[in-house]
Amino acid sequence: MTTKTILLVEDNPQDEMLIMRVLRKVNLANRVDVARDGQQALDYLFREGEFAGRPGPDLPTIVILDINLPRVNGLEVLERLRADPRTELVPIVMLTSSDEDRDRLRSYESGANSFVRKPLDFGEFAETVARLGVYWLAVNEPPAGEP
Amino acid sequence: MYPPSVGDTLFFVTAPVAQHDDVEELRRQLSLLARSVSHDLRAPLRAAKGFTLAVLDDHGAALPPEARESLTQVLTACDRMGAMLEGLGVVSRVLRAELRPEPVDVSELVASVRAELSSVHAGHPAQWDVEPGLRCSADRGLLRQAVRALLDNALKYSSRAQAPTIRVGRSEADGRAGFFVEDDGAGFDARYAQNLFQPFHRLHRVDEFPGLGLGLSVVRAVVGRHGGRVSADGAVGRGAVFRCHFPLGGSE
Repeated sequence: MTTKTILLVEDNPQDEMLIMRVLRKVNLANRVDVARDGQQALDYLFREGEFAGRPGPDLPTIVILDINLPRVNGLEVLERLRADPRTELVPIVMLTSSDEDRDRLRSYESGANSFVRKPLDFGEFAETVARLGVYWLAVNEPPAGEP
Repeated sequence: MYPPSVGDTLFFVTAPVAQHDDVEELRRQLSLLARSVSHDLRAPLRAAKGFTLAVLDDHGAALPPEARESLTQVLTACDRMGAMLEGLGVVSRVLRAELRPEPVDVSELVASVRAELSSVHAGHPAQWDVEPGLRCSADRGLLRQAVRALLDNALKYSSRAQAPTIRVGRSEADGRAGFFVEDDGAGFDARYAQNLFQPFHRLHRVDEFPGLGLGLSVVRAVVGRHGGRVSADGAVGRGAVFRCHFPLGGSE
């Protein structure tokens, strides 16, 4: 059985707990790993620094990436992932509270697969995260699939 | 002058004198502040509602009814604050928006907004009396928001009147021209006319007429962005009239 992993890049611990809760409930991913800033996300994906020997598949099935992040912000993480052949194809969903047109535009220009705004209301937020999980883990065919 | 609140500060700087660079810069900074306020308050609000729902979800059955009722009140407060933040976001976007003035047929705009509002106020008994050919030069999207807020108010506050009439027509004052929206509904005490334009200020209880108290803030922000002025007049039980005046050249 394929291991489906989500990398959640989220610096707000409460949003992290709520997202984890929703993902647990839809029961799709075998594991959800969390990076709490942009640098951690890069280290995780490139298996560097504190993540040098991390277990699990090379790449997660999906990266859920916030934009406003400490150290390296989400848009820069996105650009660095797309510039590297190891990560250029990994599906990336931007999940952000930003409603700025230029953030959305720049995300798509930089190769994001999707841009999702965090709804203010928690009910909608939970539904959005659940749908996002179902779509990217169960519906979407990933670039590097089973042969 | 009434004592200014933080929200008012936002609107003072949109007054017609706001041609000066410094004032324009101040307006920009204040609207960015309002934006980040409404934006950054989202995450903790989402958390408050999310964790409350989590308790109800996981332990609701085990809680005594009073505890469930208290948590339901938390959810109600969260929803109201969420709506207020969305409203502040709307006002902030009006203040930040790039103005693209064009000739607008206000009478047609009124007809279009009326159609849009008819589902919100289904079965409303109002008679409409809209002067044809009202024109003005304004940003169509912004003006639409202002007209929507004015008509929504007129409908709301006349919803309990016997055979109410809503009138829209030409209005002129001090070399400025524009339009008025008048209803003969619940009205208000004219002494409080200025307060009406303060964000979240309401002259009626929520159980009398629902709402957040932001519609007229939007109207003032829109008209202010065009260098115009908005004024209100009314009497309790007799109705209310709101006049939007634009500087000469801004209105035909």
